[in-house]
Amino acid sequence: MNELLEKAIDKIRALPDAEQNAVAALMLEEFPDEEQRDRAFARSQTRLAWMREKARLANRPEPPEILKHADWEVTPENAERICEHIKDLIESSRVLEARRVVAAIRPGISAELDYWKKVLAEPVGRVRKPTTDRDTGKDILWIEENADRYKGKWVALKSGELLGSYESLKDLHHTLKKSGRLAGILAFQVGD
Amino acid sequence: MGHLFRQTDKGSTVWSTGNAPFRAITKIGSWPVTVAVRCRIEHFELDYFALLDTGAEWSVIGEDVLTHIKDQLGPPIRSLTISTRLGTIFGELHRVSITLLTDPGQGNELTLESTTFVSEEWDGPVVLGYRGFLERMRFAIDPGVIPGEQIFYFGLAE
Repeated sequence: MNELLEKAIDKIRALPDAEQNAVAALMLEEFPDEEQRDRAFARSQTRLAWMREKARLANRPEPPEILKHADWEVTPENAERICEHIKDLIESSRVLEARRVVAAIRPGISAELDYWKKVLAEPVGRVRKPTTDRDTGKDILWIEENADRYKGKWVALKSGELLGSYESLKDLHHTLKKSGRLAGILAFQVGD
Repeated sequence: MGHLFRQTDKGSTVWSTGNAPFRAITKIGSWPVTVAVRCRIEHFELDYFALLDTGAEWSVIGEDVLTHIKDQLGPPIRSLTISTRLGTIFGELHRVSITLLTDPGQGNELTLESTTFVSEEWDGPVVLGYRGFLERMRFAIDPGVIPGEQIFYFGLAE
């Protein structure tokens, strides 16, 4: 019996008889049959293997076949050819393949290879509390009710209030910046 | 504050960390946009509605916004082409910080250092596409029943 199971049994043993019976009945009712146990075990093993493989690739990426070829050795002399290959992969929607290529290249070979390593890296995210007051629901309501009068214009909205309408985003930005009122403002180009 | 939770046999965990109303079936300039979500791009101070598009391979930023964030991006290294609903366009891939915004009291904003296609030839709306952006986050859409009830839920995929 493993430690976790022993702990669970100890907890059940500490219960009064009637409650021990109730827990035992519940466990037997919920207890998976052999097939269910096998499936759950297989699922967990597949996931574990996948996670191990991902960690292995992240630590020491296996070079894709093309980079193993002598003509494609990752050197400054071959950098241009490799960059062109990466570009071709992206233009033909083979982004994952392009990522595998750049992951296998160490930094510092050429400025352009470093650029591809940077831009093709998986996105990195962070969360933080909003720091600016805004009310998107009110802005949307304003658009629903008033957009027809401002067709093709850029409007600046702050919590359902119109601050101005402009011919371009540049004009809108310029005017509001001068008055120091940019935070939390929605710039929206009304449909024409 | 409304969050979505994931229920498992071990209990429930928070699934989304922020939410905001979105605008459905609208037009931004000349372009029809099905789902428009509020975001901020790099350090450009204004909020903006962007097209949420799971069918787009990349996020795309055009000249309107590019003018204001150009000095925050690195120099263009190599141009490439992508195929869009408006035809094939030239541009470059850049690392661009895009923040999905919430209203106060509706959870946390989510910022992704994303890979974005930046093109002066693109005159459509800002697009939030799959590669380099949506692939790293989870999201759900509640279409509501009446205008004003549409809510976009989002969180970081972990």
